[in-house]
Amino acid sequence: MSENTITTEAVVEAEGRPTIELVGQAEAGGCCGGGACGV
Amino acid sequence: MSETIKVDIWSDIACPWCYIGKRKFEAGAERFAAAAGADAPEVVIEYHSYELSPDTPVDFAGSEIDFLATHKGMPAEQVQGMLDNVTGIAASVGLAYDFGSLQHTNTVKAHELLHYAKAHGIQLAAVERLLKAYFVEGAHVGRIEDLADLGAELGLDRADVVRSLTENEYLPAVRADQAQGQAYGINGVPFFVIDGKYGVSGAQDPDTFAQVLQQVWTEDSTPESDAEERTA
Repeated sequence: MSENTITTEAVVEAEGRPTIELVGQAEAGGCCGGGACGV
Repeated sequence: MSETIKVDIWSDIACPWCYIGKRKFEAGAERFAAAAGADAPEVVIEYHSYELSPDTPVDFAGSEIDFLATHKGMPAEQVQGMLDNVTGIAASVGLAYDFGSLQHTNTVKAHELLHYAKAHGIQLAAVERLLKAYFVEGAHVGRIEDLADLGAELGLDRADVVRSLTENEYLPAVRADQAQGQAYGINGVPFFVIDGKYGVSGAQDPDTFAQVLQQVWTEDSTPESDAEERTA
């Protein structure tokens, strides 16, 4: 993916895993186990 | 050229950022479609199950503040500040969150209902209805009878919804979603997988979603031989 259109944060790649490229901003709000993390 | 772009979204009903992220994604998809014009591909969305807190009892005795304070080990005042912040962000995308009336619960049956709804062609409407019920209306989304009422509102056969949820008909589908999410390495939601290639984590700005949809469309529109020449 072009660097000038969107930020590439990391590539998820491991044995047996589907490979996807993570894009976007790292600080976007999200929820993880135990409740509303990142609020 | 691909006529569709598939977007797989991992989400939980009990995730305030998932509803906000849903709105932001929708806004981004609208911007992409407007920019792409008449040739814009159809964006096909499928929701997948993610349980943030599978050990939560169906009838949790306490407020959202109680739940988060216990699970995150934070003072209630700090949790209140977090909820005030996310309520403000929700309002900025047109969502009137009411954490004061929210009934925290286990969401596995809600996920089963979303799979039931998908089998009946109305998954997206069901996702919207359950999120609104939970965050805006203070409705209970953990009990079979309450979920059946919501399903009936959506036009589903209430008695058959009760049967399905009682028999755990779609529990294997919920578990399959969770396994697929684990395979992708997803550890937080919302999480968007665009065209099976790009992952977008969290409630990103609409422009981010519009850009990645445009990127996928551009790549799908480019003959492989051209792409190889560009990267050679």
